Amino acid sequence: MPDGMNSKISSKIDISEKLKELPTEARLRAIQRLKIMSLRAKKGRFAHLLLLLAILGPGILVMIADNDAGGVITYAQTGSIFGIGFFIPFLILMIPVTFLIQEMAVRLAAVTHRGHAEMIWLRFGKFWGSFSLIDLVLANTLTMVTEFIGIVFGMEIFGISQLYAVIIGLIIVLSITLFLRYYKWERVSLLIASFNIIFIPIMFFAHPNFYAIAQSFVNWHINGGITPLFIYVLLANIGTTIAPWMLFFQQSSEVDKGTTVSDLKYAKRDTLIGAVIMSLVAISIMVFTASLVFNGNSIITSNDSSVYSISYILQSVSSKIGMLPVKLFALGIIDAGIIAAIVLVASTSWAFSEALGWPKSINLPFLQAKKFYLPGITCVAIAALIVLIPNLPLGFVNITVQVIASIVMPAALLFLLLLVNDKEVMGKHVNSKIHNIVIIMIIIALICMSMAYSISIILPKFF
Amino acid sequence: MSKGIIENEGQWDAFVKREHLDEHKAIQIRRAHLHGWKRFALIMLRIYIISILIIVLLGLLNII
Repeated sequence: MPDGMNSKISSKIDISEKLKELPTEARLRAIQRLKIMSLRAKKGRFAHLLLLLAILGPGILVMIADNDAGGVITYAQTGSIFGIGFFIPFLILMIPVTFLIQEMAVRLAAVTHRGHAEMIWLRFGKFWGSFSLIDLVLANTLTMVTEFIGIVFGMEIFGISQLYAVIIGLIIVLSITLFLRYYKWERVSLLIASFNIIFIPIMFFAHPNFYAIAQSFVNWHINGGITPLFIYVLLANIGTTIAPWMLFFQQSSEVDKGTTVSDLKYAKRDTLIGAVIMSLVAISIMVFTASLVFNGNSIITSNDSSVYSISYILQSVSSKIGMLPVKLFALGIIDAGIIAAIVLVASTSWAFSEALGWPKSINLPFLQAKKFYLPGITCVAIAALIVLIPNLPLGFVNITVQVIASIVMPAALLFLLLLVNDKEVMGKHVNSKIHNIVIIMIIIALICMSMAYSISIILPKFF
Repeated sequence: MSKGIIENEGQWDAFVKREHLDEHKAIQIRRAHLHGWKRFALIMLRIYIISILIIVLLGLLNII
């Protein structure tokens, strides 16, 4: 053995001094990675639980943020239009679908230590890189508009004006983004996200019929049958459950957290737990409105679209069980909007910085990485300003979000599939044949659905 | 924190490498050479994007 190697092995080192030699973002990541390393060396169930808790984060965050303000409203509308039936087992079916898709992003992050935007840019060139980036940033900004619409709607129930609601939302989102470094940012975001679970106890205010819920798994009954409205609602639910930003966010988040191949087992569990929570919350919202608002087939056959509105749904709820559940529901919508906005700001900043080769870590303080934070801040500020426009054409915003998402989603999924099957990049971590068959089937179904959804919005008379 | 896990320079270097803490030593990703089904998939993606844009155009014409 060479002398240099011998001295490297024999000389004791001071870890604190060694940490100081690392750049800021790597130092903060190294501290967390040392904790994980030390937990991994311990034996016993408690140590395993602590290790799981340390690795948990991006998966739960991405899934709960997917139950955003728009998502909560979609699930509430679905429950009130179609009652307890098809959509309950459908949401359970979405657990493996979202898990299988997001799991590939986790694996890609653990192996390459690069974000989705960066991988597309490096592997497929500037054209596809800039195409994905521009689409993602546009979709993220417009989705943030819908989050602020949700925040404003929720706060109005507590008598807070539109302007103050936007300012409060903006202050919370920017404070968490700018003043917390990755570990604390993730933990505080998880704390905010955990409030999403409020929809589960809210469901019990409606005294749901659990026998009917169990029955729905047996017969998958569609109240009113397969109608254009059913197809539209089905597509809206798929669009709400699987979104392009989720791939970009989770991959970048795993990279910034420092997830490695040795963490994959726990990182996958993180994603699965997130997918289960996401579905349970969505089902609770549906069951809540289905139990209180759904009234046979009268809404399904109604031509008055105002009966689908969230205001009508909550008015109907308050007339039956009072204002407390409505206020809790409004708090849930505010929380859903805030957590989704936090995640979308981070996703935008990561994607921009990865693609353009700028500093790309939440571990960097704002003053050291203004370039990193600027895209996210700009997008959230634009979204907040758009919401303040009087008589905002909400329909147009919704159409634009769906059109952009329908372009980004197939592209992002295709690039994910190409990357995760790339032996030069993934080595032995490429998809298995069965995994590929399942994923290709899911992707084809999603592309068809997402195309049908955009057609149903752009050309409503098509179906 | 890491007592008994990293005790010498060699272990520290291995830790830094394993955890990819040194950005300059990150895996180099080269531009992919696309052929076969990958090339076909990207052509299909271009067709998909163009068709969505045509649908958007038709939608806008409908509105106008």
